[in-house]
Amino acid sequence: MSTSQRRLTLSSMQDARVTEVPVRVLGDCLRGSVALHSSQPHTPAIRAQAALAIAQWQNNKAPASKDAVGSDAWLGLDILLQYFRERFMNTIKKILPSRFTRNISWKRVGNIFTYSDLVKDDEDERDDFSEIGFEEDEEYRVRAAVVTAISSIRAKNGQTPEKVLKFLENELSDGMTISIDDYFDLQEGRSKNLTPDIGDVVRNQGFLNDSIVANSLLALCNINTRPPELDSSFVIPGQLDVGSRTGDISSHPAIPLIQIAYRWLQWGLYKERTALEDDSMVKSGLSNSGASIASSAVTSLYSLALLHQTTMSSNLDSNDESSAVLREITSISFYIDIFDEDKLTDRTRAAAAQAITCICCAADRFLDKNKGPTGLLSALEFLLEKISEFCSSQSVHYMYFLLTVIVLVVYQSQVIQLVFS
Amino acid sequence: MMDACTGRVCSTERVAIISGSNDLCVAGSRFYEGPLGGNQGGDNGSAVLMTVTPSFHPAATAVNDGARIGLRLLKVAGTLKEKEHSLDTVARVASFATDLWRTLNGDTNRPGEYGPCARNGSLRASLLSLWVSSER
Repeated sequence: MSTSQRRLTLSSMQDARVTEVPVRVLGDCLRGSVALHSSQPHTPAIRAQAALAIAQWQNNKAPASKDAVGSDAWLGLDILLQYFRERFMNTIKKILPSRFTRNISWKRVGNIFTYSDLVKDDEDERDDFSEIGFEEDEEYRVRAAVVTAISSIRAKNGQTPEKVLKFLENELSDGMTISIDDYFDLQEGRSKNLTPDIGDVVRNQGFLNDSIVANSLLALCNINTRPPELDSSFVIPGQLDVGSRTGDISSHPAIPLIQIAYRWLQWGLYKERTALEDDSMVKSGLSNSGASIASSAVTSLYSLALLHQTTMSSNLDSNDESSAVLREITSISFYIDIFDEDKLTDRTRAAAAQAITCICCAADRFLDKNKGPTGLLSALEFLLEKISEFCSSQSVHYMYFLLTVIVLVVYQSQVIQLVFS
Repeated sequence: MMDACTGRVCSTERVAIISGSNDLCVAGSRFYEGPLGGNQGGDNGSAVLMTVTPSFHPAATAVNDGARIGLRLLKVAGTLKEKEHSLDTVARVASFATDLWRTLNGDTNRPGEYGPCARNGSLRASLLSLWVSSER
């Protein structure tokens, strides 16, 4: 009798193909499945890592093109999007704002807290949980990680899939509607001397989603897209310049995101300028919450502007809205104006300094040797002058911001230089 | 690029993330959770993306290419072998180098005042790193 054993090959486990098991397990972890070591779901810290690991798996298994279709092509991306739809979208597919607190009921015996959701359904015992409190809901950290993970997903050719662009567009658009409406309701009440109770406004709002918006704006820096190349057989001669990616700037997939980020920047700047005008606004917490939106919007805008500039040669002389915005965000003077404004926070001004430096550096590519590649030099002169201006002030943080910019650019350049040399 | 927006730039403890492929995910995971798994704020620093190529990161490539060209100008301007750049450009580089050297040594343009580096070691070290970078 032969003792040899046949090699066991598994093609599927629990209706999932073996090759998909890692990402399925990560998806369960992200959803909050029960951990092996306890009867509780994984912590938000673990689940946030799971979201980023799913993106990593997806990038390792990425299809060749961003236009690939099929259920297998974007499995990791689909899991992330499905999770987001389940948790953070309502029935009419509007993205819900993030809640930073949750209501909990517990009872306290001495120094021991017992939460109502940890006991079995027993009506007698449940009656004891009469105390209602608020706790930080760390779900928003998972949400932020999911947005970053989705924005990091690329095809093998480095292009961001269309689904990701659409997702970011929707998320920023929906968040803008909610946040700005609430804020301007408040402003309108003040202008009509209705003196609304700001505390009520904040409570009714129930959320402060500015940090989520800021995170989504920063996620825009991760995308890489370019206008579609058309096959010459599909083009009527004389109508489009095939292959050179020139023409109407609105054909660039990044344009909707640029317009949204620009609107967020205007909104963030307005909020910062008016934040310190009213004491009650400062005390409400509403004023300071938007401090990161403007800085994140500046960072995303200059990044998207450079992306547009490097992937499409277009004529910005036309008077349409997209051209006007692009002209503005690719010019140094736009960021210098932000930098020189005293009412803005140091964070926003530092982001403007970073934008100035990066755009100046990028401009060096186009300068010939006769004219001199003086972009980096101009940026450094500008920053050094600003550091000297603040030498007698207390703005130590401010100087660190500027130095961060300098060192970041210089080190970034050097490390990349080592790689290519 | 996340650095200026995190609001944690006051810390002098910084970390550089050097990763290979999938570096966006790795950098995100470090910035979100930190090396020990703490929430939001474990790490503070810059992510150096090692896979920057024109096809994957065109914007970052544009900045890096320009910065490399600009650094080369700072390094070679005014040297004996270098005849490419105009005298105006060389004079600008020399003027900037003088200002940088004075500033990192605690001087200022205004007499009787201390410069920003007079009592700030971190600032001096950062400017010195810029000086060394331009020299190499």
